Amino acid sequence: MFNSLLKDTNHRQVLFFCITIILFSFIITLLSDLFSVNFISTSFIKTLGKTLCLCVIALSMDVVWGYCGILSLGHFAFFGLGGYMIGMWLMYKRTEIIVLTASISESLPLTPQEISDAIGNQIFGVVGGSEIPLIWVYADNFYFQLAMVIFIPGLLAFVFGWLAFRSRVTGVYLSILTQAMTLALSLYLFQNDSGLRGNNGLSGLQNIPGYDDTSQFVISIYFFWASAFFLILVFIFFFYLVNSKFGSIITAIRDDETRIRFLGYHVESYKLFVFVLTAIISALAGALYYPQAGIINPAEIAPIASIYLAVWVAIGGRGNLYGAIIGAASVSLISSWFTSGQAPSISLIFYKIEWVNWWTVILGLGFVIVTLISREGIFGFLKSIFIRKV
Amino acid sequence: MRHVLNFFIFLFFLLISINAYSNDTIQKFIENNHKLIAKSSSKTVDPILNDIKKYNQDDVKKFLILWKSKELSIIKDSNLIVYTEKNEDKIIAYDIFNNNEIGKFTKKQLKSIKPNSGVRSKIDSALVEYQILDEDINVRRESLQSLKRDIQKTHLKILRTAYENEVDNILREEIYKVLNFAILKFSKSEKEKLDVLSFFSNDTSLEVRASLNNLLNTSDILFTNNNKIIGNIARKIIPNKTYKKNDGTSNYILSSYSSNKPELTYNDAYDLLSNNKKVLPRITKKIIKESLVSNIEILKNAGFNISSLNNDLNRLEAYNYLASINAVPPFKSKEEIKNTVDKFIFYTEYDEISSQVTNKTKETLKNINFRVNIYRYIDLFVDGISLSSIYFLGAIGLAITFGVMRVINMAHGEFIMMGAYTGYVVQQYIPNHTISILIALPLAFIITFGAGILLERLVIRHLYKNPLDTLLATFGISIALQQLAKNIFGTQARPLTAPSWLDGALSINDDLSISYIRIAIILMGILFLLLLLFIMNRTRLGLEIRAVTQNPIMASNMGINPDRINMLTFGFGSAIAGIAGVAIGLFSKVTSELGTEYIVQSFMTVVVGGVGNIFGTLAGAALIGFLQKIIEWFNPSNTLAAQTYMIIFIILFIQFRPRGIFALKGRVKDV
Amino acid sequence: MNNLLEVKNISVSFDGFKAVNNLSFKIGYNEIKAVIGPNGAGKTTFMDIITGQTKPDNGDVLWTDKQYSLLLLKESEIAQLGVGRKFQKPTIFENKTVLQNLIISQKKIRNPFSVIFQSFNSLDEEKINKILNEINLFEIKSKISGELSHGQKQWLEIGMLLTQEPKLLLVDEPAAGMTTEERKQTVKILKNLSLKKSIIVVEHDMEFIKDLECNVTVLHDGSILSEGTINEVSNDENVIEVYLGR
Repeated sequence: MFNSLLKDTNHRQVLFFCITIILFSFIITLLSDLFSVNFISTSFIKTLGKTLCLCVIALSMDVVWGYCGILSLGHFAFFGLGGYMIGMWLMYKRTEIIVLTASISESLPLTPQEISDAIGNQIFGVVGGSEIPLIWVYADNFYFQLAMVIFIPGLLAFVFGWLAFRSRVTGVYLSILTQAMTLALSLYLFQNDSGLRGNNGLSGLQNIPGYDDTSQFVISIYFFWASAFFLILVFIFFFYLVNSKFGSIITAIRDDETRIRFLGYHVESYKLFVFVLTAIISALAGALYYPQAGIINPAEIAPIASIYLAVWVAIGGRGNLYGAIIGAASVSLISSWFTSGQAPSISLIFYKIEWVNWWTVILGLGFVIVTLISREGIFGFLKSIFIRKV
Repeated sequence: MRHVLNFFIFLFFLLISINAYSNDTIQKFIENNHKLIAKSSSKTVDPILNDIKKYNQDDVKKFLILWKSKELSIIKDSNLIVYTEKNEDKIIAYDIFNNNEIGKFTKKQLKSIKPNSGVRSKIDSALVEYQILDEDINVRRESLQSLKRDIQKTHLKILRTAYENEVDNILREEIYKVLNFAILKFSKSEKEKLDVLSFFSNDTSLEVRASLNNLLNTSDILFTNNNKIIGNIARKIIPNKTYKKNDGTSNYILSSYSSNKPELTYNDAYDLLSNNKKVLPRITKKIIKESLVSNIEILKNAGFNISSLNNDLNRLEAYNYLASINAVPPFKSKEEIKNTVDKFIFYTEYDEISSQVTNKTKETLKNINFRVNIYRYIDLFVDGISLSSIYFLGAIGLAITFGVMRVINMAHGEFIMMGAYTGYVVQQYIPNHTISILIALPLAFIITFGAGILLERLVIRHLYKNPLDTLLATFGISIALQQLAKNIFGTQARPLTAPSWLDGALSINDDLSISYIRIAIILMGILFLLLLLFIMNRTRLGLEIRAVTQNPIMASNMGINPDRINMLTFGFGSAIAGIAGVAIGLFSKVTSELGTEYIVQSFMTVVVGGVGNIFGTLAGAALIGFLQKIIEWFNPSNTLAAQTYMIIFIILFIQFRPRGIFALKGRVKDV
Repeated sequence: MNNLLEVKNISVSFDGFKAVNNLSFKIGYNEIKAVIGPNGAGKTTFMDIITGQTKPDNGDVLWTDKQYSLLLLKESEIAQLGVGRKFQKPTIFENKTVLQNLIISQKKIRNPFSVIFQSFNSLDEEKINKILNEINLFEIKSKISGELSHGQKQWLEIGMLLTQEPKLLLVDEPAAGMTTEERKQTVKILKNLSLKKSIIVVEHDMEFIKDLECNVTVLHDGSILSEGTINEVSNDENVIEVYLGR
């Protein structure tokens, strides 16, 4: 597999990356509550774990956009769908546990119908329903929902991609279409009768069924490690993929679609392959992300999220896997630092700069500047400095 | 002799009655009822209003008018109801009927009588019969209006008299109409009703429809277990099989996938019977559970394992055991319920007894509804045009820049927002709304034109080779501008008020009224279309823009400076967005997110319409605007779903016309 | 006679403009044919139709004796059948090395699933090395192809065609912008190729076609004006009037 065109140094790079991530994870774990050092709070570990998941979706975005040239504004929708699918299980199972616990004090044991009515009431009371919608029919089955994490976003990506690529929609048109798809999905989920609790979304996802006695802190460590391993796994997979003949072909599609078509490649199936593959990986990242975030709602899927994803990758450096990771990690962490109000405001004589208000302006303009100056983003910039010195 | 005696007896009673009458004056009546009058409520006022009618008409009228207009007071000591007038520090009280002064009082000695609105409208309707024959035409007109609101059975006769006596032709017509409503509501004559129905057959007003619909009011669900049904049957109801149609009749449900749900299930029907004590109550799952809980000791003693009662089957078994020892009433199985219900016939009756009248009403309503539907289609059509105009205004700037430069400006929505805020800021300085809008339009043009040129010179110019990069860079601009607007104007919506002559609507009938603002938007759309057509087809700039759109390389060979054209086009496209922003701001709130609401639709318009063609954008806007309205029409409660379906439609549309409705064909390579 | 490709009465128009008008054309196995004509004569459209990029309004394009219609196939399927195309401007993947360019062109199963699992074995390497030698690029096979000279890029593109192992080569102005030396080399390569493959050359340069010593078809306004050897064609009065006379 992966007939790669790599040299030994490349393999060493991958090893270096894996070791870095694992070391980083160890350090974070050591500094955490686990060994009573208590230097890093539970919520910060969650933030880091979420950031690692964002790095994964940034990698996906980089492959589909930086390598294959499809500027998708829909990958956050797949990410969110993945979150929804696993969220259904988390929420259903947890509510079931609550219902069953409460039923112990009753004089008669509950019938299956009564259990499902009670669960339905608890989950869908907020949207004025009590019946469990059909799409939740296997929500109590972890493996089924896990399969859905892959299947539903994969299917959506496949159908949409098949339609879009088949009609040779490319470039700007395609981006706009993917944005429309994202908007359609989020509007659909905003409806109360979508079966996914409308704008309330799914909540309480941080409580993992079966781990009720485990503290949130330990759970956050588990998820942090899981995210780290998933990132490593995805990185290795993508690294060898983009450096193989397959990678050559998709970059060739990015550079000159017509030419590669005359070489006998069915461009549409390559695009579809990459689109669906990255969509699925995004969905899996979402399924890891949202249990750490605790809540998912349709606003998370709105087109702006996918636009920010493109911003991260572009700032970090597209067409380069490290760039995507650097971009996603740095921009998302800095953004959350500035927008959470932790950054001190600067008082000028006539105006007080509140970072909560001005960070987005700076980010937007910074993004313009990065696009203008360095197509390869921060990573490209660093690389060029490094190479010049050498 | 006997006759003489009879005569005397008669005379005696006559005397008594005359005597009684002379004692029974309106003053006395009011005095007797002072409590009810002073503290009236719409529930208690009816008997007074009824009884008072037997007194002198003018007196009654006078009293009721004063009562209604809150000019009566009650003297606390004597409980006398008087008419008061303020005179410096004292209040002078007069007798209501002969205007004699009764005395001067302080505020504390009096309590003014203030009937609430419910009472006042009852007084109004009682006054009607006096006022509708008044000499003053305005009084007659007003009284007819108040009568119309609540037609009583007694009005039937009054209206007939009024109709015959009325001299003013217009008012006479109106009285006739109200009389007809009264006939439909209260007349006992079948023929009269049928005549009225014929008279109304072409009238689509809401009042007529309401009045006709009232004729089709039906009773609650009735049932019988013999085949004889008397009365005017509206519909037969077969449990699980029929549904209720809009016109009050019933029909069979053809398939189980139908969206029509049965009006009555077997369980409902059985419950109806049991509520009417025809059968014993149905044993529901809930009752089973309650019975088991309350008899749990018996069950335990009988050897039932309580933990096994976690399904319906076992619970039923336990219940049946309880029934067998007569602890609870016996369970009714589905079969039993069905058999019981099947012995009965379920139906509803019209309140109107004549089937001829109800049939004719149905027919008339059908005709009227047909007309109403036509008005609704027209309304939908106008709606569609105005929405299309908005999309056209929003998208045309985008389409021009995309056609010429192959650049999608993601900040286009923010230019729309800038235009709207310009309108808002101008209104802060110039309070006259007409003038401020007239100033805001060119100002928005200038500001967004400048912003567009700035953006082109600073950013877009450097990215022509890679359209996707422009997409990204303009994203950045869009994010920054949006946040900037938030920082300057705050997150709450700012008003951009339309001039007052744009308030209101062109009202054609009850179903068709077009607000002036919609008309203004449509006119603006047309104006822009004509202006653009003029610029594109009749000016040098337009010629050059078209040349660059069709073949940039050739155009530059012909001596057209593409750099200049690009700059001007971009500025121009942005400026149109600014003007569209002012227009959009007039009917929706101005917020920093105004642009994002329109941007996707604008893109869709461009994509669907095809690139580089004004008519393409027009067609795209029309398609999307109408489509959205039509989907909303089918599913009015859910605009979110409408947008979802619309986007799905567009994605599918692209399959068949990847380059839009008006595509530039040729050997030109794809963008 | 055995035809590798037969184009039958094709017409195509863009917005009323007839780019190709009732054109018929045949080429046999191991034959070389040149197509010439002034700008707008329909040469590029003609090639677009054969490669499947443009669908004609009328007519048919038939492949080999089995008479498959190419009109029903996608571009990639036509290419996989064995139609290779070289563009007017050298279109190589400038970000990739010479070797990478050749590897992605090499004849192999083309669907994404098999590509992932394909390995680059010594047999493949041998084939590619042979071609690298033929096109004189063996020494610089690891160079990024964007850094090659214009002529080297042209050869690389020919090399890419060769690794595709096509049955029919469509070559659009191969000699454009080449030095005399490079042009001679190109003629040699093409002639060599025609021993095993059929080639259609679209060219402006009469000298180049003379050196190729093949049959010539002259296009004008979307239809055939004249056919024959270069000498016959250049003496045809119609041709002199519309093409050479200008």
